[in-house]
Amino acid sequence: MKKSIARFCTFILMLALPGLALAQPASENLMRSNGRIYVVIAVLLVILLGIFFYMFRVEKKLKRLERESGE
Amino acid sequence: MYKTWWKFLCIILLVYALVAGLLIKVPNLPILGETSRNLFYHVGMWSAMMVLFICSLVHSIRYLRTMNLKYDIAAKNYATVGIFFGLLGYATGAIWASYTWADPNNPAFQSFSAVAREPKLIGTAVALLIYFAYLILRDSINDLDKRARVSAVYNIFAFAMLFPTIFIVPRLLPSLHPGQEGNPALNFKDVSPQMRMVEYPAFIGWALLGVWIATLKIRINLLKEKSLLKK
Repeated sequence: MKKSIARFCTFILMLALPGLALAQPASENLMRSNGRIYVVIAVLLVILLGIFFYMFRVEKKLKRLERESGE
Repeated sequence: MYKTWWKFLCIILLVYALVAGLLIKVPNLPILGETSRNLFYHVGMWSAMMVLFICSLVHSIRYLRTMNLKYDIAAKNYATVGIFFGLLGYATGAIWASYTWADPNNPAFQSFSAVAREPKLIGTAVALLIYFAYLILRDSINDLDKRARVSAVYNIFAFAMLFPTIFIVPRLLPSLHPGQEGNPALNFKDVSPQMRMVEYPAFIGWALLGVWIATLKIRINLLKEKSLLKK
């Protein structure tokens, strides 16, 4: 139960993400150069890092299971 | 679930989506520019989410028909991975929106408060919250059979709620998001044919990746509950 509350809080924080963009300095230009191709790169990075993070969590679960079944 | 061929298919499709998606020529639209390539990645997250939620629904129905806990485990893990892809879609959408719809350097663009009121963002947030309640509901019931039965029924309702929250209501309201006249991913008029050639393989690839991750989780859970399932 505690775990799902923690997860829930993370989720609420995620929903506030669009607001993060507010904090950008006006002088920042990299993301707008070359037809904004770096926006695509940022999106791909988020997807890849997200999937890697998730795979590590799945592996953690598997490790715990292996430990338990080994004993 | 245990076969290998579709995992290779997934890898081939995703490699194609990455390479072709970054190399093909996209129509140079105002504001969007090169970011329309996000169609293969950001929208792909939603296609994966929908496929995973449909899988979850099917397994919930199968659980209610057979009362076999195996299907309950499958339904839960498909829903979890579906939520994960939904969150990725949300995060990538936030990045994309903050450089196209709202732009502090361009006074002609929308303000952030207008973007926050965007019906599609609110709709998907509501849909994801409903699915999140599915996980919390599961955790709050200790009795295994009761938990499986109650959450299977809830899952069916959660899937039904997807339609008004992400398909119907946002299309009735004015919105910046494309796809007012129909499904933005399946509409044949507003995407160039070359992009179509990458879009559909990319969607299938992301969906297969989601199913792959979900089946790994299901197999781990099945091992964990082995003693329970034998009874």
